[in-house]
Amino acid sequence: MLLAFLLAATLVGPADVESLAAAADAVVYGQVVRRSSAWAPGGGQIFTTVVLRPIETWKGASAGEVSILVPGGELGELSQTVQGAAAFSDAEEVVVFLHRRAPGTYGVERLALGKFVVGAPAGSLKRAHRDRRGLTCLRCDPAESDDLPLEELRARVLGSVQR
Amino acid sequence: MSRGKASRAALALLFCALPAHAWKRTYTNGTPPMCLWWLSRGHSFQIDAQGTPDAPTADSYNAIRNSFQTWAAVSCSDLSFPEESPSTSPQARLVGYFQGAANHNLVLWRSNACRDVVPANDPCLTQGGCSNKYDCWDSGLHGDSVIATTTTTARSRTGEILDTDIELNDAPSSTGSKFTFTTVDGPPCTTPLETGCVRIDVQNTVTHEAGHSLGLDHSPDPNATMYDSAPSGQTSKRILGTDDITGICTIYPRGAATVTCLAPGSSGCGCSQGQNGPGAALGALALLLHIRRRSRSRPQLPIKSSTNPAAASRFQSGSEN
Repeated sequence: MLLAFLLAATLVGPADVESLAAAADAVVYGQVVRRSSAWAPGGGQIFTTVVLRPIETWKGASAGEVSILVPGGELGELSQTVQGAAAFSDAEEVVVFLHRRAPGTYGVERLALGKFVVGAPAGSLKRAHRDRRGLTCLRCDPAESDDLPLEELRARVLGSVQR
Repeated sequence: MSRGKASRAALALLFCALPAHAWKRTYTNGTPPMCLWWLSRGHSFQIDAQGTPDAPTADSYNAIRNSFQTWAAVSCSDLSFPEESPSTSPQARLVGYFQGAANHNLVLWRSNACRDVVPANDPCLTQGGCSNKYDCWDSGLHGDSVIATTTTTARSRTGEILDTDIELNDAPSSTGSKFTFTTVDGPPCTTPLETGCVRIDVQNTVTHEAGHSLGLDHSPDPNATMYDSAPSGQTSKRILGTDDITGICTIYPRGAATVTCLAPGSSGCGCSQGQNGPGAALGALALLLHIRRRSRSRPQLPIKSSTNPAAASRFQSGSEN
């Protein structure tokens, strides 16, 4: 039983949906279908590959699956926590703002600012929620919403992309 | 249960049951998640000699030293941060924890952008590790807007921290601009070419990151160094807030065992932000003293033991420190 990583991060905003959409190579609403963690070649750091099955692609080319590389993760008895980076759970439904690293592989734009978890209380419409835990954000406006209806998020992303 | 165990269990439970306070702890990703803590009180640190071209070397070194010293100066704790000689080896600019090797708690600036130095077909783009392999800031993982990250390595079963490294982004963004680090005292810069003013203050940034390296998470208290937001040119995080001091002294109380815990929502009570603040510490201390007074006249302490073994074992973990 050995390791856990923590990345505390400081970044510069803004954190609003329109800025994220403009900066991202792809914006995908999808579901996590599998995750796997491994040591980086050379050791020292653990990375997790998250595979997403898109439900809708709001920006970028559609694909059957999207791979997202995130720092940290669990590996056997080892655990790596990357504070400030987006973290994913199995079967989680998410909207992610992505930038391309390699063909088919992406990173999350602006760490955890680039990920919304989608869920719905019983009988309610789906909402998208963002957890900023672990991020220090310069120039981020507190009014930038971290919780909004999924439909509103979709409309704002698509509106931004079309502009 | 022995008197000592009962006392420890009661203390552990109290740490998990008393009122909320702003400061928070960080946790491993393990199962159960454990809060992070150092077995030693504080940790050594090593500045990479490359530094930043933005500020005089001596000034940036001093800003980093002052950042750690700020935490060491808290009188209700007993942290120390011995400085190792600056690292001058390009091969030593490695972040993370390497089993079986000498690990140093590095503070370094990355001045190359990975997008500029990593070949398009390199496996690190899909597997990770580009920053260590090519000594670059991996904006492809985070985006260009990230200023600093802290990598902390801990044992997942106990949360004991083994290594911590701070990286600062000195690399050009995709538009060619870069963050400018400053060490001066002055007002925030308002124009691009202004000098003698504060842009990204090294001490402000590293003091905050050092708090993370000790196991503190962000605080909702806007007066705290560990607050999660800051305007450009800020220097106020150089000085700890009451909330930061309360947090660090609760985790690392001078002359007493380091407090360990489980994450909120884990099996067992878990010590979350709202459950391990100073009120909890004082309440726990009061109960412990009460227990000890009673125990002088009662060899067998009539305290109900916790029905949750995790709570007792968790505190035992802390008491081993």
